[in-house]
Amino acid sequence: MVAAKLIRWTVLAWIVSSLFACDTAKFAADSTSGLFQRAAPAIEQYWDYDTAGAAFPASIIQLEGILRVVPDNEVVVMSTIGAYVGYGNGWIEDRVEVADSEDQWEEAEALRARALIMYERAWDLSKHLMRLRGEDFDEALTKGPDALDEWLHTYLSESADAPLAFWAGASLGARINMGMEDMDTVADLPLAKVFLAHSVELDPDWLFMTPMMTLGVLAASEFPPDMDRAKSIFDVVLEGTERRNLMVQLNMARYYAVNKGDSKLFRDLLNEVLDAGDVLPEARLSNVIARRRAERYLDQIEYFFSDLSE
Amino acid sequence: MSRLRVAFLATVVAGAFMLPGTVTSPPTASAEAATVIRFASLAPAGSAFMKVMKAWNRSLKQQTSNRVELRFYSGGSQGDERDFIRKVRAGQMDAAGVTTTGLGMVARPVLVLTAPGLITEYDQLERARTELNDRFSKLFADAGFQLLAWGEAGKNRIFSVNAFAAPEDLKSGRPWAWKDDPVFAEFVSVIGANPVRLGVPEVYPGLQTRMIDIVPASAIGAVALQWYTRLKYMAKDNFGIIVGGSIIKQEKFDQLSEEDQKALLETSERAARALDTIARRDDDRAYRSMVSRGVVEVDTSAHQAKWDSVAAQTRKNLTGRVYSKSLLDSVQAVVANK
Repeated sequence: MVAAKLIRWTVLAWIVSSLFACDTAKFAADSTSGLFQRAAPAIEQYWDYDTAGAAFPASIIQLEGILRVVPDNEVVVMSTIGAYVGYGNGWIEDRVEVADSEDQWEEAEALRARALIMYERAWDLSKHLMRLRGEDFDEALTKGPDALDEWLHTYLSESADAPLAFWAGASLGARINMGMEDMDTVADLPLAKVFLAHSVELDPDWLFMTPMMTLGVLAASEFPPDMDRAKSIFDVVLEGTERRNLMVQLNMARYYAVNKGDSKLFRDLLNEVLDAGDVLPEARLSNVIARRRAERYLDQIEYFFSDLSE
Repeated sequence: MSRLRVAFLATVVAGAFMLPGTVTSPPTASAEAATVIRFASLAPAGSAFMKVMKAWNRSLKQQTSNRVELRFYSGGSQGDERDFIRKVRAGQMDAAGVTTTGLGMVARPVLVLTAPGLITEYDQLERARTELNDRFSKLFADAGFQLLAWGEAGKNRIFSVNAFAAPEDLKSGRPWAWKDDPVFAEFVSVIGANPVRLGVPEVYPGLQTRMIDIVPASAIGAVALQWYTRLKYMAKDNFGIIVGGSIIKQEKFDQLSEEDQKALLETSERAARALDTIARRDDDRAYRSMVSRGVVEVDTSAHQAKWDSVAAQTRKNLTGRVYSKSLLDSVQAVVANK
């Protein structure tokens, strides 16, 4: 009796697996994407910078492996893009800043090159996702900002598409930042802005208003800067986030206050970051990074302001 | 589509978005040098320009045994070139890397180097700035500045929203002329167009609203300032080269020992020549990038005689107003003497 049941179950299992043919691995990989979503908060809320940084490379490799099986899974692709951009900025570029500050230019160069490769990969993945949405994506990209904007309005029109637009803009922007030696890369800047602006248009509150904050950084730091626009964007984001996303204060200090030559505002904002407690547990790790940088920037204040009496 | 919860990644992304025009502050961990030269530049952090400038600082420190150090304030953190000059004069900054605009604010006759049709090739510019260096240096010295080294920032071309080939095609256009640039304003006036005087920040919005539809720029500038996205045509041939240079307040320069002054000048010159190579490469690359993105190259050679005539008339009109006839003649002689 038991043997008969076992045989029946075995046969049933064989039939079921046959139905999926050779795609059991795909099935498993697709299922994993749901797991990523549920697990993400554990990383977001993590408190230790070094441990999180040490874990990132393995996560990236794992994601790349899953991508081999399910290359079109939006969640997995976006997780991979996010991992590259987040690790590149939060850890590698952090080391670039330190290497620069210690005059270790060879190390800084090597790290920049490493970050650039990661951002190139992230941008390639972003383009892959866009092509899945609309086959004429490359044509729109080549035609320039207006055509891209039109394309985005056609194919990414739901508020739920805000992350997709954001990650495309973020990966392209990060790539430009590290690849400024190539004017062809720099020429992509208007396209990155279109992606970001579209993300904000779809859902201005998404991710603690990070896409909008990024537009504020751009307004303050592109050439020529639009400081009034930057100020109004930062003010909106500060209010909208109840000053709990400390990256906003950090970036406002670094880009707006510095470019305005306002050392008092710079100090005030960075001290606010340092004095804030665990004000946003949902983005604890991000706020840890903000505090880390705030401390460094305050130590280097004379390198940001030529005249501290201003 | 599923929403990703990767906030910790996203919230650090903005920091990665330091694009042209951002601030860099490369402090050094070594002991504070005896003399710090605060140097303003529009070159963005991470750019090839800024890398050369950092290398310049390393050479200078080495050559002066850490007695002199450059501290760069880059990417517009100190405003534009007008602000640079104001701050150097006020003692809030010591030195600056500027282009034609900044140099012209200090020593207006230097703008002769950008007179249309006069210097269009790099070797001509090299000869002019070498052979007439003493004369130009005196102009800077008289204004309270020491010229550290000459530089350049790409070939100056005409870009337009509308098709053009001959000078008269620009007559009905709305050409932009920078507030502090008497040269291009005169050039378009000779053509018969009315220059629209705006600051650099107003150019992009001006192109969007069609307040202007013609701009003079280098390919580097058209890309870095994102103007190219609003322009459709660009001249293959340039009517000049955007001249640049590094200048330091004389007072600050005089604070250095003779030995350190020599080291500063030597290292400046080496850095400037490396920067020239980069500027030429980037200008060429930016030009090709724009072509690949659909900006149409305009061959104006069929109307060269007309362009030459407009340029010659412009140079003549600027004589006495911007530079002397003697200076113009000297530059012309040097340029012609291959």
